[in-house]
Amino acid sequence: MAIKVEGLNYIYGQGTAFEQHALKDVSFEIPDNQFVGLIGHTGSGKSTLIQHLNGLIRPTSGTIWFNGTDIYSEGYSLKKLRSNVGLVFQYPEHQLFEVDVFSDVCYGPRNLGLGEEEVKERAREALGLVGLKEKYWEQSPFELSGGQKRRVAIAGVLAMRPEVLILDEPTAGLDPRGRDEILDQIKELHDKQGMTILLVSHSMEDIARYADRLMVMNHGEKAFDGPPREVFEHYMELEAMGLAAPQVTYISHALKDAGIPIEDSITTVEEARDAILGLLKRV
Amino acid sequence: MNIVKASKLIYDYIRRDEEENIEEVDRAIDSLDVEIEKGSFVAILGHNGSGKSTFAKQINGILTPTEGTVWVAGMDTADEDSIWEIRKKAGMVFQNPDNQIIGNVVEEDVGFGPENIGIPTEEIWKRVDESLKAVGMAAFRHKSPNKLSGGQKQRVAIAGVMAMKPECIVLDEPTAMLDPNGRKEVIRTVRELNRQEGITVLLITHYMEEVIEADRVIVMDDGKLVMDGTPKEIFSRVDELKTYRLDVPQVTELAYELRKAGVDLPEGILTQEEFLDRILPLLKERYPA
Repeated sequence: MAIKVEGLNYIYGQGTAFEQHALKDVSFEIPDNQFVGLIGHTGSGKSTLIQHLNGLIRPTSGTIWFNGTDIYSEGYSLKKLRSNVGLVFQYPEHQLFEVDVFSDVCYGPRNLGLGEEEVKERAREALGLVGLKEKYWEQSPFELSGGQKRRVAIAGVLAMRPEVLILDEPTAGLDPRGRDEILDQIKELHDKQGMTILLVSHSMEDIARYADRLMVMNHGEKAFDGPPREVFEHYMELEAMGLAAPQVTYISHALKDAGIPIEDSITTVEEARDAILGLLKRV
Repeated sequence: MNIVKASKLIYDYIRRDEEENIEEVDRAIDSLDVEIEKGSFVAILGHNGSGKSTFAKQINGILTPTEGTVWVAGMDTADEDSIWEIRKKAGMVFQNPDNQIIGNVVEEDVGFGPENIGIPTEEIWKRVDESLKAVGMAAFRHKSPNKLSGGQKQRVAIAGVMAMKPECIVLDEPTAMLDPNGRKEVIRTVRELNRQEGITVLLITHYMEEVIEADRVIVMDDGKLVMDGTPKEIFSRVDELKTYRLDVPQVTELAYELRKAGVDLPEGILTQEEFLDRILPLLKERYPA
């Protein structure tokens, strides 16, 4: 069990006029090597939630376990936790600062106090994992394209060799191909490196394509939690929360309402294509 | 009549070393010829680095051409004497709402632009009223912008541009940081400004669903204009779009895939309604109720 959270509450500005209950009694478990999608409208509490998971925010009440240990138990090293649970913020490329790509990726492991060879080894490995070609390694990160910069920033977190990778909208502002490339890379980290992934996204299409499980936050509470196809069945409730389902989910429901015996819970273009072709061929 | 015209436009980003010698030249826009019709809603697509944002910045003179000419409402953007007039005619809205808001109260923020160009106080308030109404944010005029959602902040930013009484608004990925609701809010606002106030809209976006309501779609690649047509025409060319690192809305892709598999569907289906209208009769033949 990578992460377990129980009865998590967080109140911003407790006791002041601006008091805001950002998380209300949130509980869940994320087993090792799961690919979890997290959605919710702006202000639903998802960013607050992920910052709890690597100890950046301390809960007002509730408990967080990482690999079975309470992260606020006596003597627990939050510094170590943060290298095990890597957090990639929104627009992580804004945090690049070194003179060249390679040095930027070395920064994290160097701060862990590792030897110089180990630091470089990890940087090489991390840059390989995000698929950034070697010819860019000596360049200034500021000369790279948006998608490449983002890879460098993600590599900086991967160089810490985290077991869990949390990404807050890693594809915002990228063009469609750049978006697919980053997500495919994350999928590969999940499949080949066995990494546990928590992906925050506003794109229902992306979640449907990549995640095994989908959690929905609404007004600080966990509203839904299950396989994406099951969660998207609640598309009307999702809309009431300012969210949506993938376009093809709406299409399959409209067909069903018109009396066509199409299968339930279609969430990707491929599924919709196969289902409709199947219906058309059957006489 | 055109509001924006670019002729043989070239723009180079030039990097110089410490002695001011040219180190590297990066051609972001390469001989671009384009005219934007007054009152139209034009979407500009292109991958990161295709030159679309560089082009947007030419329109209100943040950047001026390396070679060639850009005219806005008949004024040459390279003419320094017209730059303030040009910026009044063509306003810009950027990606990050938090970087564009400066006032402590919504109405102050919206009034900032007109105040800066010396508009009389009474007229400023009139413009603030009208602009906030136009973007549907009148109820929030006394609120702090910090308490607004992303979509609401972007609408305030748009109101700030509207208060300058522009003829043209250029929006550079205004929805990239917003959730689905915020995205809808902003696109609806922009469309209404176009239809009701007759403002020319240039919308740069990576979300293909936002493009389908435009009158015209321009695709840029490598600083050049490579596709130009109605959304229907552009989204009929799925394979070509993919070579430019772009995408189509899910429903368009589904229709395209079915068509490829031999299903009798027209090219360039853009909306769910259109798709259902076409597919239902085919399915009904097989499954009469």
